[in-house]
Amino acid sequence: MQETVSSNRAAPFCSELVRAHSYAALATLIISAVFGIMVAALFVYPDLTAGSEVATWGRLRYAHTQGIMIGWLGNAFLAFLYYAVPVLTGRAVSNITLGWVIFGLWNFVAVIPGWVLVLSGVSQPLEWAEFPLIVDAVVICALLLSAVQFLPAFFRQGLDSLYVSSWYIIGGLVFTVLAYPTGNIVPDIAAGASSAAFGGLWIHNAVGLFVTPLALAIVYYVIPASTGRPIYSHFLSMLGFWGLFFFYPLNGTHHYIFSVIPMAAQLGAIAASAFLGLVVLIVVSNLTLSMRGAGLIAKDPALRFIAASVLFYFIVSMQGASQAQMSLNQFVHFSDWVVGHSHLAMLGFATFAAIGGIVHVWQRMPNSRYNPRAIEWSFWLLFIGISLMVIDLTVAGIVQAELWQQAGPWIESVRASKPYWMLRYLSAIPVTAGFVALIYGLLTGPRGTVMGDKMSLEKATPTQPQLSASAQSPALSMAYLVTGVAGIGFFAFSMVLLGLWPAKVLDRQITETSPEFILPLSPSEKRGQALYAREGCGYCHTQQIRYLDNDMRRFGAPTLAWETQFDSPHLWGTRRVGPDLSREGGVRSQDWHFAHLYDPRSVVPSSIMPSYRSMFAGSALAPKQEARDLVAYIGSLGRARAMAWPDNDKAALGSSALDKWGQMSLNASQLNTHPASQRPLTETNYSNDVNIGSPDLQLWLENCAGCHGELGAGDGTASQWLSPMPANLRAHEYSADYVLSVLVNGKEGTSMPAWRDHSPEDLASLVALVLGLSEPDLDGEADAAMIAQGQKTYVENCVQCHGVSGQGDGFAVDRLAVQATNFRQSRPSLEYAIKVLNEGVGGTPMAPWNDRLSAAEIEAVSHFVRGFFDPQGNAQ
Amino acid sequence: MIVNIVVFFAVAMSVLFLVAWGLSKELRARIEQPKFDFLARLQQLESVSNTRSGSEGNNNVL
Repeated sequence: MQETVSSNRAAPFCSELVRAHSYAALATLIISAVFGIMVAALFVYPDLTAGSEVATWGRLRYAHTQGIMIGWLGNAFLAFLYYAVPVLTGRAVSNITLGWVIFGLWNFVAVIPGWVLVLSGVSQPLEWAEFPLIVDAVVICALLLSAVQFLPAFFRQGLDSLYVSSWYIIGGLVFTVLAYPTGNIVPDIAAGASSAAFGGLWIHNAVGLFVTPLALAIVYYVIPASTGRPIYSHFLSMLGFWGLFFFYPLNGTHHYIFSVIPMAAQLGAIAASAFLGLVVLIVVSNLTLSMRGAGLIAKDPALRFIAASVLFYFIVSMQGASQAQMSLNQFVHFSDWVVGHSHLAMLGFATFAAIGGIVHVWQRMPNSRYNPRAIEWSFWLLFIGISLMVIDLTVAGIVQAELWQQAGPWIESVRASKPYWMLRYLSAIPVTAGFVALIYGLLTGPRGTVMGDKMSLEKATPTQPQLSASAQSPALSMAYLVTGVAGIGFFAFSMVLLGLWPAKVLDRQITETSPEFILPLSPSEKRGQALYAREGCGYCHTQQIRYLDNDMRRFGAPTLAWETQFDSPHLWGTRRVGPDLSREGGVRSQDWHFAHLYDPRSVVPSSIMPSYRSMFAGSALAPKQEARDLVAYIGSLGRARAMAWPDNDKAALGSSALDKWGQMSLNASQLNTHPASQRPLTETNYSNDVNIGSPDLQLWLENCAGCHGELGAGDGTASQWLSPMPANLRAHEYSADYVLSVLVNGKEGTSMPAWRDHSPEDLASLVALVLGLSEPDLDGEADAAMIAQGQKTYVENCVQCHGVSGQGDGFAVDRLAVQATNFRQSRPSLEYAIKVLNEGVGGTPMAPWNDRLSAAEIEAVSHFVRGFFDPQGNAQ
Repeated sequence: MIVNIVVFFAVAMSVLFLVAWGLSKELRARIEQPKFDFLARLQQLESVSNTRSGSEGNNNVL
């Protein structure tokens, strides 16, 4: 390879390294974008990658975010640094060979293996830290080497005359070296709420201490280079620099507002977020004033990207400061609003800055010129595409949040989101086209020895400014020390305040509120937990019920610190596409979960959950060990608190470690709002006197038809995988009370879940529809002798379970996994009753009786049990 | 408690910057100097580059 740089004297920057990192940036950008498009496509076509073990939603999502941050932005920043640092310092970077080592490490030992590993299922479920620890070690190594590569040039120059871009480059490199290990390793070591506290800090530090400083370094560089004027105020830029580095690390906890993390830490993060908004206002004002005269749409393509980046930075920062405030946070958090926010930060602000930097540099490299027309196309396509995506996601977030505030079922928010997810998917067209135009533009510009092979920046280095006597004073010459201590101090300060101190408080709370004995996860459940983490389940399902009325109404008592104390790393999540799963254990049957994993839309027709068919051997009836483990883990969620409840909660009420928020959880009226076994009808708001509504066929199709079939014959798609099979509603007559009771409470021992998140009106409509499905037996009359024979047979064989009066309350009923049929409220058709007596009911204690009863006895007892039915549904 | 610490540091830092800015004319000039140095460096670089490469180079710079 021909090196452009042979010595510092000949040329201060290595154009090959700039070019290599630029090409790597563009390649990883396209690959990461493809991952992102597949993620977005799965929202619209959830079965797109069904059956694939590699291209699952979670793994693609991991590859997408890490690829954008480390692959695209990391390479783009490095490319810019190789050009800018020599210009800013008048000195070459430390070592060109070291540059190639960093390039190799970054791309061939970190990014590419990182992708391979996460797509193979080796990852960690931490946002913006999904690459596994082995890759983290390589990234940390590369970051340290980058610091060695770039920082000495600044220090040799002296801090006295450092331009703001230099400050941001130094800050970005130093803080990232500090923040990366604490964000990628500490949450793996800590557990539960403490793990979340540290993880939350990294979510913000990744953007605030790595992406933002280096993006702003580009912005501050390109503006004067493009306009030919100095920035408006270097003082304001420095105020902004120190403000950003003080407040950014203090923001992270705002990802877990209303969680169990101590409220003092949450409020600190909220205050810091507000101050950060003010600082950004100063930064953006300064940048905007610096671009005055450049026109609304700058002529220089690089400056145009930079101007758009500043606009996006302003919007995303104001959005961030406001959505950290409690009033807005409780509304939009967990929704697509936040996804739009992060895309605005990474794809809007940071990507536009990075492209602006590359475009600027490209025009100043030997043998590299861009095609202005293609770059202009790229700008507009990206601007339109990203704006469309962010606006769409923001509106989707508001719609979702609004629906979550209401009493309707969760799936309504999924249904309402579908048009927005389609639009988000379509927005990938202009975005991808913009990226392609960018690459085309960079590759098809005029070539030739436009600038010669080498440039000497040393010859171009202006005379250093004459410093005043005071500026040369010993105190000011200690700027290295002052800035070093202050910078590292800020970071340590945030770690203590928002990481270590909350961990200490949480430890005390766990000690004082935890039950003495907690049933640990079984080996199968542990494997399931690892699968849950690997597949990114936590990126759509949270495991934290917040201390908010809406969360409590929908899911149950807020999550206490001890409940997740053994989860390392935590699986709290920050997004809810599907419902929270903190208390999912016991809500649905194992069969239901198998059917749901194999074919989600068979049990939830409107679901957009991807299928995980690779975990099955061709059928939901043949789960592989992975599916068994995952379902076992889901079954364990919320178990520890349910087992200790309510005694442990009552005992913990006197704990000194709990503030009013903790008390709120212990005083919650319901631990879990869903499990059938804990929700008798009498404790609900639903009246026993059912006012039957109008049948709502759509409601039926969206919620019931998957199992019971469109016509209610118990032959829906999922019925083949459920045991016992869903009830054949056509073969029964029911009392209205009974149907409502089953809808509200579910049916224990079967796959029929409770539907209490539906409104009473909806349930009344379903009751009406179910009652209308019955096909009464017109030919089922029997004479007195047959009834007497049936009664005799019943008393001799059936009362043990079904009770003397047919109410399903025989003395053996407590030993039954599935409740015996109450014939007072449910009357089978004669044909169905005979069938059951002959064949039994699979998955229930009802065995076949044809080996013990004659055909005549079976017919007689079938007639007899039908006589119990009381249409008024009065079980007494 | 943490809120108070955050607010205190925010106010202290702002006051420190503003006082330093207001009290010393020399310091003001010193703080602003890097932006002029940087621009001069850029202009010098561009002129060297243009001298070396002739008029066809850097057609989008400055």
